[in-house]
Amino acid sequence: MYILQTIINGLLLGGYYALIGIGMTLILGIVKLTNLAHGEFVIIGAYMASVITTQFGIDPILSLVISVPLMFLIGFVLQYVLIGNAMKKGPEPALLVTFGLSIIIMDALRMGFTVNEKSIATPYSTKSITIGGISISVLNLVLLAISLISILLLTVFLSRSYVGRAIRATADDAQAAALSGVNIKKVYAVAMGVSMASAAVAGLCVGMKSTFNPTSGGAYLSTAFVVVVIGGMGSIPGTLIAGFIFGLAQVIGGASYGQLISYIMLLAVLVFKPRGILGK
Amino acid sequence: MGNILEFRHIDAGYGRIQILNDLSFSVEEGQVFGVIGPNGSGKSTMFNALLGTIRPTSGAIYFDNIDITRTPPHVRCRMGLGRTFQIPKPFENMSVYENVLVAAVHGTGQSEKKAGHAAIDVLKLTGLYDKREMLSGELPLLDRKRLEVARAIGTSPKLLLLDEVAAGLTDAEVKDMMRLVKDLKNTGYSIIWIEHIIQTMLGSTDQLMCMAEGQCVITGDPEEVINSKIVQTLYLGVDDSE
Repeated sequence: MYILQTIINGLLLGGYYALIGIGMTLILGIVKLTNLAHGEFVIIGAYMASVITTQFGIDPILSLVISVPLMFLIGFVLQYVLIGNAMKKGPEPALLVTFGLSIIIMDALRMGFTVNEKSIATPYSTKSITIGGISISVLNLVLLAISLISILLLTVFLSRSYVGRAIRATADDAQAAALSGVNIKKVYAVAMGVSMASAAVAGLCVGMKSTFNPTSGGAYLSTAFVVVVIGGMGSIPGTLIAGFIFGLAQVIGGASYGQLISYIMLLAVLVFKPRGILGK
Repeated sequence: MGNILEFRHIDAGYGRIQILNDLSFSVEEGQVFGVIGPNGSGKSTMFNALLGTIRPTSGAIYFDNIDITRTPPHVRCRMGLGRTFQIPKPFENMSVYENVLVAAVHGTGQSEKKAGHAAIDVLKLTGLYDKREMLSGELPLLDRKRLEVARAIGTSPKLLLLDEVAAGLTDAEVKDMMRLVKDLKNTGYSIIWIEHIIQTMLGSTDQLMCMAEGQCVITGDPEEVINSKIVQTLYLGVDDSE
């Protein structure tokens, strides 16, 4: 029974970890850029959810109505004005720009919100239900639902909408896409907007799940890294599966060995299946 | 009819390596304009400069009497330039239909519904209709070449640029391709066609240009060009006069 309980706890967290990685995998697959500021993007999302929730006294999940479009806009402008121009000079300057961004965001958050730990309280934070002797945390169930719905929406957007098709075409071959009339600069900006919007949702989940402060981003960047690499850089289904593997590792390893197990898995994937678990 | 395209003294290359040296030529509207030349003579580079993949260091390119030398690639595509790649570059993780649909939506700016109908027409014209649901990454070479043409036509270009679409095909397939080009010409496209196969060029083009070392060596009636001394020298390496 203990084993079953552990596995279920791990699987419940899988969506949450996949959601943290999904924005990073998008940028890697489409813009071919490693976004070192992704952890800070998630933390911005957490603060945004926290501020909106307390300002309006609404359920934390409703804060997404404001934070998702706002974060999309910030991401779009950031890519169009700043990162896109750095990319003209090559991939390294763009990488450094995202590193610089992460430091700037961290310090700005410190100035605005102090270094105190924060969290987003929900009515169901500590509740759990018991089915057949197995206890399931309601919060984890909510996180799983939010994650799966977001990832499903993202998949539908990419496969069905005409902007999504332009994004996939660009990911396959940017030059050929440009010559088919696709405005690459705009596609990259939309991709960054979508990535940032996913960070808004991930940030909300982070805030509901644990405490955060302006310097928490680094931990989520490394989580995202592991999930992205195991999932095969750029693949959404791969990222989802990697999220579940990562979740299991965290639960099985516990606080002391969870991180260690996941990094060992990361190394194993890099050595034996460098294209990720779903890679050919 | 006027000129649809004019290259005026173009210098262009990659980094410090200059490929095109003072290249000038013009293409009349409604024509099939062939381009031949030895390997490395700058044929594909000419296409890259024409489409904005590389930027000329000097000179000007006029398309439909508009200076496009500094226009970004996707805008040139919407103005009416469509190209195929010598080595096909399909969007591998998308279906054949979606490949053409992307071109038809973004290359023309029409609604997705209209573009969908246009894409179907293009697939029928190029003989890919039965394979429209296949992932383009799984297509064999001939179909990949067809898809290159389909995607280029999908953007409804005024000037279609074909980069060795017949290379590597069997004689029968080459004939198919020649027929397709003829159909396209009759539909009203102007075409620039780079190809090595001299017989194909003789049978299909109205004007022929031979390039060497980034310059236009000779241009004119296809038969005269191919029989000219300079082309014979370039291709066969013999010079009868010596």
